[in-house]
Amino acid sequence: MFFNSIDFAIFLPIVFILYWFVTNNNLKLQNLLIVGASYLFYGWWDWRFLSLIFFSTLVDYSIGLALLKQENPHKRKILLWMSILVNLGFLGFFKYYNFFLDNLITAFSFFGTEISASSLNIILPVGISFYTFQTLSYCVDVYRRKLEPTKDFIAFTAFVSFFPQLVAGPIERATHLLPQFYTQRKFDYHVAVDGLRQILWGLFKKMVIADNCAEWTNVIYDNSTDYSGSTMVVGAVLFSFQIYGDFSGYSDIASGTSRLFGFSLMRNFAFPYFSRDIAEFWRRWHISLSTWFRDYLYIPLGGSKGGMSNKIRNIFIIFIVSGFWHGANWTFIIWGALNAIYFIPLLLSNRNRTNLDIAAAGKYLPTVKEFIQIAGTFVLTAFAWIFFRAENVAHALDIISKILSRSLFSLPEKRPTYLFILIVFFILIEWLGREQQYALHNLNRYLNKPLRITLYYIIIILIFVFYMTKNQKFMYFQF
Amino acid sequence: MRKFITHLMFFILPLLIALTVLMLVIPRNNGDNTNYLAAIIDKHKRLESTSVPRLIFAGGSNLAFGMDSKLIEEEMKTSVVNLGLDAGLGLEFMLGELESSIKAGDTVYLSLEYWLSIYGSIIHKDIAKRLFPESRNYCSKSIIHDLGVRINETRNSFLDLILKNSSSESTVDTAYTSIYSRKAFNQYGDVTVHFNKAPTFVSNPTELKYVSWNGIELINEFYNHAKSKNVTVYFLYPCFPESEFKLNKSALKQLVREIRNNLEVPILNDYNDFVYHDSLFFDNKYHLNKLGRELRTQKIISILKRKRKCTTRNRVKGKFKVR
Repeated sequence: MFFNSIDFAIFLPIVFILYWFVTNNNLKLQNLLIVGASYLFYGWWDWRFLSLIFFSTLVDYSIGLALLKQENPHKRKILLWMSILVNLGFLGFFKYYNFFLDNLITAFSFFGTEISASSLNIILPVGISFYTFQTLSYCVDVYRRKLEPTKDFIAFTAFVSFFPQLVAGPIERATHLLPQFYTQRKFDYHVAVDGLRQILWGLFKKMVIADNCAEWTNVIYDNSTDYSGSTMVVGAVLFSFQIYGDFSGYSDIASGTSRLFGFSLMRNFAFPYFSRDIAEFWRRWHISLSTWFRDYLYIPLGGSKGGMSNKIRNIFIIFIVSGFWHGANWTFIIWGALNAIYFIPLLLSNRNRTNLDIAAAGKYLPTVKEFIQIAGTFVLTAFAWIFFRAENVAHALDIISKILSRSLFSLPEKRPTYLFILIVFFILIEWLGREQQYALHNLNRYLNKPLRITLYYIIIILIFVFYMTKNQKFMYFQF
Repeated sequence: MRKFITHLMFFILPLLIALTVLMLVIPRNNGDNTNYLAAIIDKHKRLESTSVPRLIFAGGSNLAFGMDSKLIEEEMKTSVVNLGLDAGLGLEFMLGELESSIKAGDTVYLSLEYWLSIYGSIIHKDIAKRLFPESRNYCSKSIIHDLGVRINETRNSFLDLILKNSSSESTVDTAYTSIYSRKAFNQYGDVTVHFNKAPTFVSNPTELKYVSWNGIELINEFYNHAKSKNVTVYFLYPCFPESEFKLNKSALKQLVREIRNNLEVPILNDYNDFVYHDSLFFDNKYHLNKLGRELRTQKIISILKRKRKCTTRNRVKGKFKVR
């Protein structure tokens, strides 16, 4: 079920009431309830997917316990590789089988040999890219002895299937989330209110910003042959806000929902469009995935140790794999490679860790230099998003060639004024709240209670007025 | 916890009151009797006035625009009822409509738009249900969905009031051109009013991605129900423009393979039987113009006659089976 659906609006209060009122603060019962609710939530899409997540849970739970008992380094490695093969095997089959097959056929035909192989009709299980990475990181951490494996199967199942973050992250580390299933949760009024506030902001980002941008983006991209370069720029900008609103909105709803149950999830977005360079952008965008790749791929490859060629190689590997994680299409790989190309100059000039705090920290407005840096970084990422959104590489190149043509200076055919106003309002709120966990957090710094309540009502009215009746699913569900 | 629940209630209460007031004060769109969807009343009148055996065609507007029921009736010498109306009503609605209407001896022809949605548009169904109350039984009842429709309508009507504009959802009747009204249909349930109007269909094929069609299971359930009532059911592919067909051949091939492998209903034709040149379409990829409709009707007649011949031959063979 979608977060922005009536089904979820009914599901959440029921689970909330059962969790705090019926379980009587019994930890085991609460965990069991979370497992039940999470499996119901996940099975709502397709009950057949439940067997997959359960099997993945069982495998990694068993491997975790086996690693506890096994001291032989060689056998420990075998166990770790079993987890890697099972998790990545699932991911590889469901997500990438047809991609590799199609490319193999193309490669053979390029050399004049036709091979006959039919692609399979494979349904991609929702959230598989997220929970396989989550369970895989558990086994790796147990192997590295960073974490004691759990003997509590219910707690582990709850950790893997925890419904707020199951289908689109954040990709939680066992070291952060799993211990929360062993600890007594106490209801905290302020945490719960903050959770609701974060859910509200997430719904605004998704239903008002992302979904409305999606309506226009779909028209522009699906009919790109009919539009000028300036309209393609409009499409690229709107898509940048669509993907940010969609994905960070989901993360906010996930985080806010978790807090209602006494859990704390890791922060997944830290105002990435206010970044002053690409390195800062990647410290602020999809943080759970980029840190996952850093800890489980980049550092094992050598990270930034070794010569310059090693560093560059590792950067390319990370970004390309990250692109590939998003989908089985060359466009995602090119998107990843583009980001690597953006990143390399910063790495080579040792400026990849210069902007560690938020832009204009402690001030109201950025300096001119900061503004130019923010705008420049936004342009680079929006350009790369063209590949991310395009149907295929040819489509992306076609769009780019239009943007680089004279039609860039014509009046755009699509000019959704109301949407630009909404985006400006959105950027303003995000800018004012940029030093917080999320934009509406700690608003009492700027607004007294009546004004805060008024702002919440305005946001709710905007959601009511601007939500799209065609329920746009969350984009990252397809990953 | 008590403080949290209390404060939450105090916060939500004004919103709920405002929403309730809006829902009560803002007039509902009841869809007047000239609405395109109001043709369902006439189609059911025809269904009731014709006696068994009947040839009942069910599907979306590909049938409303795509067949000459009178000619089929004359050629097959059997009463024809065209229930084809709007794909927006959804497969569940259409099959529920059939289940309530079929009698022993009837033959049903399902001609469904590709990847027809099971649930369709809740707005379209809601209007159909209000115009033709009997159709409330055609779908599974869901208070949640009904509430969702009502909230949606309220919001659209609220926007109308503020913007003094027609919103495309609340006034789905006015979103249609003058073609789309109850008067567009003849007594057989076929749309004919567009015959002398210039076609507006522009060839702009969009790429379709193959996804598994979840309607097959529902059709199989209906088929078993129909068999138990001695009703014969057949499946016919819809009409489709050549340009769309060429672009989406691979996706359609996969869908057709899935249908062939999983659909229990006998399929009467090949999916490229009703592929026509784009110039034979009226205003969208499922609506044929006058000439397209004639060609399709002739094809339908030949398919039905061929099937009838086969059935008769098999019946005769069975009767005189060599022991």
